[in-house]
Amino acid sequence: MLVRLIVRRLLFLVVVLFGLSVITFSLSHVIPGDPARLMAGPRASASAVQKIREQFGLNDPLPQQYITYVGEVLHFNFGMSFTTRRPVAQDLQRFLPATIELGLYAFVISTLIGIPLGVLSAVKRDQWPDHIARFVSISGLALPVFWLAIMAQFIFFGRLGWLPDGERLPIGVDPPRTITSLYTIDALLTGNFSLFWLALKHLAMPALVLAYGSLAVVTRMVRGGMLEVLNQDYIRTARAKGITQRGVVLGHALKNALLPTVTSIGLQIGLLLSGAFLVEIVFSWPGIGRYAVDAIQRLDYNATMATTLLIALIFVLLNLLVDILYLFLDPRISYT
Amino acid sequence: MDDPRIARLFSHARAGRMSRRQLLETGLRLGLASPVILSLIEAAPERAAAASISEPASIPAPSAQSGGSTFTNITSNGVEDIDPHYSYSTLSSTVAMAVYEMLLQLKGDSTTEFSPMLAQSWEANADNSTYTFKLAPNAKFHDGTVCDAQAVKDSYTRWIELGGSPVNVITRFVPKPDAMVVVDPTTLRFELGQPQPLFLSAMASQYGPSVVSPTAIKKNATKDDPYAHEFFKANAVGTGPYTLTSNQLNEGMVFEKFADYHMGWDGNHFDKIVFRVVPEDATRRQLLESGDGDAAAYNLTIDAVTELKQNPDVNVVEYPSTAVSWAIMNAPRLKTKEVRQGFSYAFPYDDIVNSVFKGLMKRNGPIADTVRAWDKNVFLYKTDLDKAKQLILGAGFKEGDSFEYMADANDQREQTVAQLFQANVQKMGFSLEIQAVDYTTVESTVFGDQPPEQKPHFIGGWGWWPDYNDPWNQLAPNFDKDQIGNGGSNGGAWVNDRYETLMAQAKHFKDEAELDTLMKEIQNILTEQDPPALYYGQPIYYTVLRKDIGGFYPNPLYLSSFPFYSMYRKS
Repeated sequence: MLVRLIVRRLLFLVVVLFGLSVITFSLSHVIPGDPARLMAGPRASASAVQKIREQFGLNDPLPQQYITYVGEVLHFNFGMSFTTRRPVAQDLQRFLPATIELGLYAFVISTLIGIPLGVLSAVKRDQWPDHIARFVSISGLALPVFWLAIMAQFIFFGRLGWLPDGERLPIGVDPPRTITSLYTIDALLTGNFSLFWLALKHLAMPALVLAYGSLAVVTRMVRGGMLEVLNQDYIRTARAKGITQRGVVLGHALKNALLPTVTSIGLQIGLLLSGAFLVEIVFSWPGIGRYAVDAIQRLDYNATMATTLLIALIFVLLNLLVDILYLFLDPRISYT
Repeated sequence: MDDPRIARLFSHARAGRMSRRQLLETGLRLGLASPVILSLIEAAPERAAAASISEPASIPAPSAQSGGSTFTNITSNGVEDIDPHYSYSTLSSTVAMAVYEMLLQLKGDSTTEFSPMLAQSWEANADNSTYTFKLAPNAKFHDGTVCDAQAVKDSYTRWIELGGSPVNVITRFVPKPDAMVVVDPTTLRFELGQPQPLFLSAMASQYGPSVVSPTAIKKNATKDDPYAHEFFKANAVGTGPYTLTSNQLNEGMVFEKFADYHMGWDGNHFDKIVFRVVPEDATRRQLLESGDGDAAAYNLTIDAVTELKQNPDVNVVEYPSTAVSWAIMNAPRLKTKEVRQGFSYAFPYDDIVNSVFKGLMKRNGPIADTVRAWDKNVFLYKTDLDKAKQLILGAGFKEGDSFEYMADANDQREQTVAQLFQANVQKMGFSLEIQAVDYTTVESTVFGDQPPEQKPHFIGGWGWWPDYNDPWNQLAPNFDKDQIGNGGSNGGAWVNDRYETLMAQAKHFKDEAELDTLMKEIQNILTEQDPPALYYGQPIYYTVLRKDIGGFYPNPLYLSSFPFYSMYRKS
């Protein structure tokens, strides 16, 4: 059953990626503008612009450009970026780990804080812990992330000086030897604890800001799930049997309350990775979000296509992972 | 001579890096006796003698300073291509100022005088058709190879043959490499074949004339890339005072002192230059305020600049640019000169200068006052809606007619300009539809080949500055007939036969007086007689520096750049 699910989803993935590539390619070419001119600059001569157009195959008819592109992608060649003037694959390799590291920490923070906060909020319903948790979750949903980022930077960097303003590491500091391309992990694996601490300090504020919105969703989901479960008969039975409050909440209620949260968390990871671009801009974080925005603004077709396809791939794979996780969390569920 | 400031003054004087006025002012500030100062002036090379004709020189006198340190420049974006022979971006030319050298550079804040870089001296023949440069004998590239006349020739041959964006800066004067003659290892002659009074200006341009190492070109060339562009877009091997030690595209760059720099390291200089990419406006400002950044050049919001002027920890250096901003008028749709004159009277100039640009712009015609042959009496329209309406109606338009104005949707200033103009147009009984589009659409509309009726009546937010101090270079790309369509930037398809005749003469002028006469009439055609554009004015550029940064002087032709070698941190 599991194998059939995976195969079916992977086939579905191919269809999704093909559809997305057609839509993205068409949309990006419909926007008026000349990427060759953008690349050469407004002051460049017509011949210099023409030279770039030929170099990047921009004079070919659109269908031919698309077929050439798909052919190359099938060989894992995403073409050259007009923005960075480097192979897109090389750019993804460079920028994606920064976003993954940021998203990963944000995910861990939002889950580690969001789940206990949601549980506490449900158990202490209408008491002050619940009010605090609801304030946190509503503000997390209501406050725009770019505003939150600027305010956090203003307070913790500008006024208090507790944390750096952004960047993965200060310019000129060599990153750790590449193992996973995640600086904090690589610094630990290579035993460079001072570098780990430095990287962690740089990561702290962007990760917390990014986590805040996601934390709000997790808290709300867990609270809602817990409130529903805590009113069920089997919980009353458990209490009647003399099981401690802690045992009832953690041993009986939480597992069932987490089921809808798992779906939400799965999507949150995708959102954390794809929606980090505002945080990346404010905190000068060299991630894939900033790369994608630059690419879109500069009509960088190859980079736009590659980042879109990559994000779609991440979403579909995460959903697949969530579905698989469901099978283990709730044996009653079947995908036949 | 124990005082390092005096030693530095002597060194600058001998190298010809200061004008008479600068020597005099600095000498007096340092308490030197007049005979000593006079002897310094006498000892200075001839080229240093002529006083600047522009604004008073503002090179700060070196003061008591600490030793070397790091200078952090905050930029809003990274630079993807730093090849000086290929890239046309302002930021890549700023990088070039640290790592490369030209034969000569503009002196201080002057736009007409030069000071040595790789060439210690130069001379032109009587009719300015041949220029001979005497090179510094001890100049080395960062790869350790010698920079002699052959190396300069090889480097400029690459500039010509690579055909990158700034190639026109040299090919106007040196179409083929064989015009460069290596006389001996330290002497290079340019035989231009005809009088070229602007050749030195072009050789001091921000765009292109950097000398790159021929050894590095050869070493990194491939069959598909014979000029090693792939290598030079991310690496730099020049003779400049700093070497590029780290280039992280979206994050920044690090440059360190080049120990063998031929001008030496006497006096105080920065050990390290850092460019930090900070895309968010508010963060750039915070870094300057906190002291984590030392400088930001023309990349803050106007409100932030206004507020930073009140901050005692920073210094906002404003300087006139060589740029002019305007809105293009679509001449085939606004067919007569009267209707274009009419709209010129309807434009809200004072509101734009005072409210939108908050003083960081001054009224001007198509040429900035920092560019040669600028007419100080150039005709400037004053907003007069009655006169405007009369002219527009007289040209055959009726009340209620509608016009289109295209502006960049993401540029708040341009949107405000459009709205102010819209209000004036409506007051006259017409309507103006604002087309808020992405900048790529603005650019493709200007450069595009679509017929004029498919373009709006006005395209806002355009402007230009010359590659070097030459009014022809400012005007030709924007208003010449051959720049209509096919990638040219005469986006309004404006044609004026008299202008064409005068510009053909201005391209090959013999002396400044002739150029002044030609440009006086050209500027009058482009404004009073037959305007192709609505000129907002000349932007005032600014560089925000921490108060303890010394040695900075802006040059209107090196926009947003820094004289890194002369800069230092005050104690």
